[in-house]
Amino acid sequence: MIVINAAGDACPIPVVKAKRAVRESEADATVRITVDNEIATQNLEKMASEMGLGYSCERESESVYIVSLVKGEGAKSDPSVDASPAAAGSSGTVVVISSNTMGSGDDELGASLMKMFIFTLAELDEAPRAVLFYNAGVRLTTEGSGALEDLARLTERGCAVLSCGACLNFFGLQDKLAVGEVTNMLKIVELQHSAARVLRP
Amino acid sequence: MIGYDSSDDAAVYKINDDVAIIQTLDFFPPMVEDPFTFGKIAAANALSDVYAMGGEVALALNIVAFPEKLDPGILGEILRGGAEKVREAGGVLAGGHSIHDDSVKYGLSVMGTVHPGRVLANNTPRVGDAMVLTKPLGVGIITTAYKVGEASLEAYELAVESMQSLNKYAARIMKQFKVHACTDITGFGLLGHLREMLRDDISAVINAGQVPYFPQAMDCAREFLITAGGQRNRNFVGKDVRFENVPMAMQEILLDPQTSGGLLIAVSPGDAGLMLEQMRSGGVQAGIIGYITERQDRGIVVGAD
Repeated sequence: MIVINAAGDACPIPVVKAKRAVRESEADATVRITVDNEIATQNLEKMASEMGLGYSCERESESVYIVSLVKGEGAKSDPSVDASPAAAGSSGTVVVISSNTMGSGDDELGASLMKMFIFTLAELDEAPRAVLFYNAGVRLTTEGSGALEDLARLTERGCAVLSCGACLNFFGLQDKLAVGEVTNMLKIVELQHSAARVLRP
Repeated sequence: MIGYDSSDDAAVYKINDDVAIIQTLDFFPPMVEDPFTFGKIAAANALSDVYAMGGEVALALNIVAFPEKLDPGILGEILRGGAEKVREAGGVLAGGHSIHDDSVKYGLSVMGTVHPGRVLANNTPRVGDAMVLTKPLGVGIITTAYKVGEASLEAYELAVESMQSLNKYAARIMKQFKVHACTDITGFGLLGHLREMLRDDISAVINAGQVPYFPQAMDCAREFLITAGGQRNRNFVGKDVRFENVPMAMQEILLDPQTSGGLLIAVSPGDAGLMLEQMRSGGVQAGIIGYITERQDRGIVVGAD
């Protein structure tokens, strides 16, 4: 159990403190955070819902609210990908692709490098457990991407190809996903947290 | 002509058949460090109410609260910022009133003029009208996140630039078109102010994908850098808003309290495209964000695309 006192802190501080604690804690951990106003509890509840955490709140007195956030069990989880290392199969590698280009300097070169990276990834003897796409990375999993064939090959080999839902929405690509599944922040965090190694091109 | 009864931006008093005066007052504590910038933002915010009523700025008076122990040079900078914006608005700054107080507050009382037949009330949109927003949302989230070291200087500077820019230019373009209602976006956020424009017989359908906002505010909201003000607005609009597959972070942006936000304009649908084009070519970051319908089950329905 992790205990945080955020009484006297104005939003967004209580949420920021809680978020850090949740991200740094073990699976199944409970984070208890004390705040002094109802608005802060409501903001924590929104965060819990987005991160897939269990949420409960007790009002101890006029200006003392204790919010409990529960990771893992008791929280909703996505059964399509088991984040525990035991379920990793042959590989504990998670690949994180946060851009549609590889490296910085020239975007045209970066796009071509990224395509080659994904091609090569699909050629590896041991496919990674998951490839996570977020921010402009979701351009690679949606219609018009040159990497779709290689990504489809990866999914056939048991690798989860996961695109951040909020990012798809942000770029207006929510209807254009062409390979893999949509995921959320909890899964993005858990997969990286539990990975034996994380690759970032 | 306009007083307490509606949720309008200013009072309007008809002098004769050709002239009505618009009277408004707004002041608040600093939301930025730099006093000159604060002066500009507070003034732009107060002047905005005149533009939201369809008027032109005539006269402004300073309202100041300032601690005795603070350096008077700071006050000088605040007033210099305010004066610069009144001048840009084409108005005259004719004095004001100051008191000693524990904390700094600054704003303006502004008088403007408008033709009595061209007053733009809040709650007079017509069914079919397009809704146009003239500044990106998210300055509340960005300034709050910046204060706790969670937003970049670049994001903060963009937000400041937006807050200190006058709604004068958008208003000037707006007046060339068939506009039925107008307000400006401040503390209640887009959805709170939109709600004040609605009546029992109309609803607004908003397309979240078309709403201009600062991408950095979205980054912050996704990281749960969410504000108390945004949640208060959420509680305030409550069940009168239905979100259809709108991500939480986007909801936060739609509810984010703005300082010196843009105009929200109900314009005849045939005019909306050309008005938007002119605003954009004039450097106004406007968007057609939705339209007015016959009354539905909720006052406001927000779709994702």
